[in-house]
Amino acid sequence: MRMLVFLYLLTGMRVKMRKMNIGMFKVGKIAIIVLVFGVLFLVVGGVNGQDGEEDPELKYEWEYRNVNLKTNIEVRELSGSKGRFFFEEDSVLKITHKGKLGERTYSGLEDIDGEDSYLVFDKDGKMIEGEFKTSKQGEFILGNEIVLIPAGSEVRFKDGEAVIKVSNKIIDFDKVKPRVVDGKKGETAFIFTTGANSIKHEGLNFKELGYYDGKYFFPFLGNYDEINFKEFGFHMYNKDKVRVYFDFKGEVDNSYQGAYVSFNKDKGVFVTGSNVNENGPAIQFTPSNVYGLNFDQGDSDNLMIQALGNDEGNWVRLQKSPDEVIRNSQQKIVPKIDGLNQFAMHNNGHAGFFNTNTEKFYLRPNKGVIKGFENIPDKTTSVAVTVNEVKMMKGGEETKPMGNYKVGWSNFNEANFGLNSKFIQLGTYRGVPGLYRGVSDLEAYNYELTEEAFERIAGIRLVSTNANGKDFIRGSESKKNIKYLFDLIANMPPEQVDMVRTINLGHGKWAYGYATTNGMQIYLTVHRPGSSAAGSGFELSPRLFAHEMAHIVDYNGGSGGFNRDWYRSGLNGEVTTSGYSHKGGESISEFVGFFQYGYPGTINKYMNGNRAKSFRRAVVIATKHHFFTRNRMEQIFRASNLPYDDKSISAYLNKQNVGNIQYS
Amino acid sequence: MWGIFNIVDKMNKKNIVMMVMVLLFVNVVSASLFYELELFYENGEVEVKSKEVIFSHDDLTKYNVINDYYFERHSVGVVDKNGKEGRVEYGVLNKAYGDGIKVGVDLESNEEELFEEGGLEEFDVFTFNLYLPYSEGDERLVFYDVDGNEIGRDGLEGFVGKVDVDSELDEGIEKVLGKDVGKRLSKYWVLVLILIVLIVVLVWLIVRERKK
Repeated sequence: MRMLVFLYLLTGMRVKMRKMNIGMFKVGKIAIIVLVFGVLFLVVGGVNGQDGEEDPELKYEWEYRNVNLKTNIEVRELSGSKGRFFFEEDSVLKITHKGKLGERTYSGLEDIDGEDSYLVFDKDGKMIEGEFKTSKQGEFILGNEIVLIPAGSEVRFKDGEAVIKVSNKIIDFDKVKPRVVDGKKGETAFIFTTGANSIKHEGLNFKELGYYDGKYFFPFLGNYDEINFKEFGFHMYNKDKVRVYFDFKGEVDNSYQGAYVSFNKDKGVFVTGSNVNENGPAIQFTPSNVYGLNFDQGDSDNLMIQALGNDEGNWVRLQKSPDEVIRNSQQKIVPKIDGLNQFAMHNNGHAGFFNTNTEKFYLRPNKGVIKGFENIPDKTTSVAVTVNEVKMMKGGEETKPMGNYKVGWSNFNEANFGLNSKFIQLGTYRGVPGLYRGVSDLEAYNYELTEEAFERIAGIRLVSTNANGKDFIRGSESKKNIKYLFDLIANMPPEQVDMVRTINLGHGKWAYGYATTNGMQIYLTVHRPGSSAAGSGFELSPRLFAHEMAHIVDYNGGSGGFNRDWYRSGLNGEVTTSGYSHKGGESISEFVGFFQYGYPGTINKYMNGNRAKSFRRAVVIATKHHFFTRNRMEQIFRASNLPYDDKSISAYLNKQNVGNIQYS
Repeated sequence: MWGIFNIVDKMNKKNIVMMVMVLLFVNVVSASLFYELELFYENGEVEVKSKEVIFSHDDLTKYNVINDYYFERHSVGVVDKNGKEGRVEYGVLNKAYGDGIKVGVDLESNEEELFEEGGLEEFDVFTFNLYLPYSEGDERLVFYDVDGNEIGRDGLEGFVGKVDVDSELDEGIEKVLGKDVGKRLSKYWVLVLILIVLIVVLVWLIVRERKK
């Protein structure tokens, strides 16, 4: 046989040389080299060749449907159509397949812990069970897959699962991995285990590695239920020790029949799912994560996700967000989470979970929902992240039970539902009913509370005009103050923010506040540190801020035609909230200052009082011209027990009667 | 026609990508240049205190507020080499609101009357900024008052303004060139020079290829 191969090779070489037009001298040299190697090939082959092995007397022969089996094994059990063959020291079992697989000889199988090795074949001659230890490396056909088993391995194969305990020597799994014999689906789950992390796959070392039908999994056979993936920035907890498939694609995969994780460093995507009705593993992300999560140093930030299993498909995905251009500058956005069917997550003080039965997403403060992690740490910070979309399968159709609502988590242990991920409203500042704190998916709002970040995001320059102003934006409380400034502008319409170019903080020659057309700047008095200017508890009065900002909008004529709607219509004379309102353009600024942050009771008094129709119209006009956000307008009407549908708004504009309603 | 494809094949792909980026980038730069004029206003007279060419992603002309309720509407004509004039209207921004705090007011209260003195101020003498779209062929500016009478002129011939490049453009240049090529004025001209060099190299390569 080897001689034939050698002759074939030699002929091939000559043909190639002729084609290559190599000179006779070179041909001669090459021919000699080939000849020498050929001889060596034949000699070595002759010494080590399996063909020439001694062939013991195989006196027993068995004819199965697909194979012919010859052996010298005397001890065998026959049960129905199955045959169990027990191996002794010199036992040999030669299988001749009737298809392309040819002949295969199993020999040198050793006993395991004093028990004889054995193999079981079904009526077709397919190995369906076996326990054996190999003395030399060789290929075995287990079920319908060929697997290369290293020398000294213990194999336990039964019920479609083959556990192969290999030595601690490094093995490259991609070289030994099973391959199907008939081009059909793999039937056997192979689990390779070692005493050390000596199984190599995709550049990683494993202590246990599973393989089933082309897919890899963590078998969790050993005495452990968690794995730390330092390089990929997560920790896997698997209390139920379910089989967890994995890949490095970072993609949702409905083909896994069980739990899985799929992660990709380059894409910054992590997916965990469970396509059966059992929980997947709990995943805890670590500071070294590659998915864009920002952990505070030295804090116990804790973000976990878990797919809770659904045979209609179930996954939860965390991924880096692309930068967004806001006011012409690139802004980093915190990572996003989305999911299909039920999943759970922990983020410091708030657990969240989506329940497919109720079709609702729940936010639960201070108590965990992931099994084994009920006591979630309630620290001062959390990890900023947004649950962007939640889907579910209902009658075979994909639905979005939360609609466009999102759940935002800040870096400050706050979470809430909202439509605008740039600013999801939380509660209001103490004593300032209309000034909302918020959660934002802007990275800077969570982690970069600096003067520069504010300027970049707001598009407004900050200038400190005295020591108070300087302390406000650069002093020890600057982070708190910058967040306050972020919230102040987030509560205003973006068009209004765009009209202002500079905010001067401090105390200039003007007594309190100033709004000049020269560079569209406002000047705001900042009180000495620690001296609160208003109910907000900050040294900067929010009402003053709204008042001066309103002057700038007034200069700009609102959205166009504000003079007609306000001054020429006489509304400025009718809508007065203070004595100061009577001073020309102070009417709109005073009105906005009162209504932006006023108490609901006071607002109600104006909206349902003597000049109710003028005030209602004023609210709509002010919203149209960017003094109030639409959201603030709705809050004002709600506080006044008034409807705010399109028909009602049209009626307010025309100063028509609109009856009160009762909100639940 | 086919020669150029041969050249493209031969040229380093990296260089081509870089060249395309620079071409696109210079295009962006040209589209976002503005004259920033600092105007000194005194009792109806207008004088240009300073003028610069600045770059901005933002449309700066939005800051030329026109609001007849508050501001007199003036206009400026931008005249090019051929004598063609394009007029831009603007408001004379000479107003400010000052709001003085009431003595003894409780700052903790959000609803008490906060202000007592103040109101609108109007200035006879002041400066303000005016933004005009930049165009290379511009020759002079002609200022008109509210009635359309000419009240001043200022030349733009050989205008070499200070190019105020914002930080994002700085980053863009660093990304394209791989190094900081200087600040403000130098950055813009270095881009133009690079563009010229690249065009010369491209033409040379095409000519050489055709000769072959």
